[in-house]
Amino acid sequence: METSCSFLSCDHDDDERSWTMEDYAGAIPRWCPGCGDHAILAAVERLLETEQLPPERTVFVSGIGCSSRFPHYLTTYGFHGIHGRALPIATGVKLRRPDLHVFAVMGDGDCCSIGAGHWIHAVRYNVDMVALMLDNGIYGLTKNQTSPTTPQGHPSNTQPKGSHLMPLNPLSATLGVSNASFVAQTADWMPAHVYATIAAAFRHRGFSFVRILQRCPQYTDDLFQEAVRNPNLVEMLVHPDGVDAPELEKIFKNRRVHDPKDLDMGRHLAEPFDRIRLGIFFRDESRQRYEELRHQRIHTAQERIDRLNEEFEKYAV
Amino acid sequence: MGSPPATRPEREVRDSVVIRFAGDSGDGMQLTGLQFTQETALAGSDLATFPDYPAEIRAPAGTTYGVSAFQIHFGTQDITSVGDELDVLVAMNPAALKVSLPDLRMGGSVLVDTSAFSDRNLQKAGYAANPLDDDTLAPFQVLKLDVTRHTLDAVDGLGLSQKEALRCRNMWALGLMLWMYGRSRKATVEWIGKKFAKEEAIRDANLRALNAGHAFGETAEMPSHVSGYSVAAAELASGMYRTVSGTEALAWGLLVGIKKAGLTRLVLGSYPITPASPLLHTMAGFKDYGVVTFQAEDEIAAVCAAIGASYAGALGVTSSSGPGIALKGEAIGLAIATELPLIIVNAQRAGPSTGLPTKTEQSDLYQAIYGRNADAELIVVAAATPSDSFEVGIEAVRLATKYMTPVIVLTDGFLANAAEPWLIPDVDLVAEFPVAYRTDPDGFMPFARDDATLARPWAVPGTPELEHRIGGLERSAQTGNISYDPDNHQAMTNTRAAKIARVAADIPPQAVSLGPDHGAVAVVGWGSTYGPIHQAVRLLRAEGHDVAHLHLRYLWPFPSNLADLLRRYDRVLVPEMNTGQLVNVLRAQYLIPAEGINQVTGKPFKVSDIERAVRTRLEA
Repeated sequence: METSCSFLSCDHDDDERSWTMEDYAGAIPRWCPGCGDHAILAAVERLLETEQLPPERTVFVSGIGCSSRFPHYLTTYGFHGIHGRALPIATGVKLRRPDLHVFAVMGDGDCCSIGAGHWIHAVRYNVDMVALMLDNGIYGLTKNQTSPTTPQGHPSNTQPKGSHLMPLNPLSATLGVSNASFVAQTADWMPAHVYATIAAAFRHRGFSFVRILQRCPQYTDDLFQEAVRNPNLVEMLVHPDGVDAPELEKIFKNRRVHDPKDLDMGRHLAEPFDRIRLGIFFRDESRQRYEELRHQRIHTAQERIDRLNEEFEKYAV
Repeated sequence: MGSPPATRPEREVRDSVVIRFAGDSGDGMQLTGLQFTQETALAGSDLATFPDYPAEIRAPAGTTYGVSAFQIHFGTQDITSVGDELDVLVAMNPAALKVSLPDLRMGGSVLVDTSAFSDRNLQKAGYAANPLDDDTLAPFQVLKLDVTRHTLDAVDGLGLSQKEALRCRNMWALGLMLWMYGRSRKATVEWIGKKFAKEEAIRDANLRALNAGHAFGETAEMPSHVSGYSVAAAELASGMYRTVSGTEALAWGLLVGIKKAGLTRLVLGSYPITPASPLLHTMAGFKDYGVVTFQAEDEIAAVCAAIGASYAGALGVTSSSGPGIALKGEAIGLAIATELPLIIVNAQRAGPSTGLPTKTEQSDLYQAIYGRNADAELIVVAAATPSDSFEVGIEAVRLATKYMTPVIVLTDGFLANAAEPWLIPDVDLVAEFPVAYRTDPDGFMPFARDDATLARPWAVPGTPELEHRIGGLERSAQTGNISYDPDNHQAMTNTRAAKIARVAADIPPQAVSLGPDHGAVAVVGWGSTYGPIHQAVRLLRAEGHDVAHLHLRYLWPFPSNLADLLRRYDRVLVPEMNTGQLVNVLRAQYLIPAEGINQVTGKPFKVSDIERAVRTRLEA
């Protein structure tokens, strides 16, 4: 099995199988009509097809919430975990099998509230995986409660006169963590951009954090309505090393060149602005990855015996 | 050359001795005790040790709550406890004397450093008058020695600061105690050489202090009534011995376990907590043998990473103490629901919340058996002694992988720290229990079950054509797909319980540790109380009482013969370091009138505590 793989990758050039998007489609999604998750799932299926990821070598791990049903709707391996804990479970999978393609799918409550501690540390560990944070600004599955990313003033069942607090900014928070290596934002109503962004995230070696702005027709219908109708409210971050979605160029005229290597500018651009910015805010492949730091070279039998004896010698006779 | 030795009394022969080294947290009492232990082990004695130290790293000097102590019980015979009463107390300051004196037996010896009994230190220890001057120490043999001055004299000329010089007091005391029991200094000399290899002056000072203490005993400087003692080597089975703590033995057991299971990886996710951290420390040294340690950001991440690793085909292990286990509770439920192997080690400590982190207790039994939301059964086992921890580690791996279930391994603060000589086992004699991942796609269903064990297949990511989804939402029997069907939930709940119940037939029947398998009284224990219970029952039997000792390793499910066995005794007494947990579980399971003997002082039971309690019940 994994013995044929090197530590970080597997060579599957000899694999004669091929897969279409339909081959990756699992159970019929039970998300609401109009939910942004449908488009995100389609973009993920397109990525799987384009990259021809063998289903057995691909693992989707999720937490709890609407978006965390994700693994059930694919035919890869899937682990639907507990609220907030997608990232540590995914990290555990990678600790055992660094060769697998691991995706963690979370919602805003999952990632930024109950699992916030894991999020911060996963960024720091920089384990090679793709983290998709589907951000609809509300707790949907539990029926309309304020989340950390709910805009101030937006009413919910828990804060009926409007959210009390300024929302948490997931991009700034992620970019503030030392060892962050890939931070991007996209939006469900631009499938081509979602695809291009997660494709870049997938190709990045390290922990790729992608916030996907996601419409909830049930509870936060108004959240992105204007931006959906008016492309001028969106600003695309573009660069030869950034996200490439040529089909969007004609619609989204606000384009800003941003070199993803520029962390300071990335942080600046992540701050609140009167337009929604989409694209790669930061990328640095030279950041240390946990699996590299913990990589164990193969020892000879004699070396292993010596090490064992060394370990024994720690005990008094 | 010193003065020629005066005529001294012959060394007194003793079967066993209990010594406690007690001093300030900064006095190096743990190192002193460990070195004495090493020399004693090398001399062939059987032994048991118990370090007892404050939670603070450096509590204020001279205070009673800053006292750090190390107790060793060694002798020629089977030593099963750390000893009820001290034969010898080494007290480096008034606070140490105050804390430990109540444990010294009448007529026992106490060595005090007179220089440390300053007015200020006496006041900090809460002594109104100097106990060296009144009759406080009248019932004991007192060795009033100016250890401080002797140490300073010994290290004079090495250019040490006063503070550095005073740090060698413990080695002077150690040297004297090694003389008193006729122990070699060889291993200690080597150890000092290694530890201070880069600090020559410090190394030489420690060596000088050690040798000076020894010479003090050897020459005529000791009071004439004090003689040395001789404790012969114990008759232990021959072979290679190592002194191990329960934690260390457990770590080795887990490692041997994965080898016997044929697994290539063990992933330990853990977060620092007293007294569980040493497992992470120990296993961090095993990285060349398939062990990956992950110091996680919190307790929940630690268990979740272990679960993720198990899902991917490793043996996931997580370790903590009660408060951390509480945090892991939801994730343990996930491992129960997804039916993945997982080992959860709980080194129990005293009290709810933070409690007494460095003190021992066995009050997490309810938490282990019942402490999760919903009907969430798993296997619970407990280690009895440091060396038993090795076997328990292997057994936990066997059960977790065979039944695809979490297993909680209960140890405690005593087992985590206490050490004993351990005959290194021949691991080739440990039975293998190869684990097979599912690879055959033909008829594969993630929740189809083995007829005998009811375990589901372990199908790990990377295996073609076995792609499937698991999760915490109730799963449909067979397919594992999400199911809200009422009958399915009933069936799955029943099956999960039945799977754990079947373990009872796959573990050894409960044996009797000491005494007959029927009769007047069974004293039933579990965990680290093994030594004191065993010794107490031995003493009571020697007096002719009809008493037996049973010690449970398997706490959930119980061995299949346990009910019948317990019913063959007129009375069942259950000593526990809690307010009565096993006793209630036994009563609930078997409807027997078991009675508790309970104590929660943060200290292990004394033999006499149990002996007295059992005797009282016998006479009642």
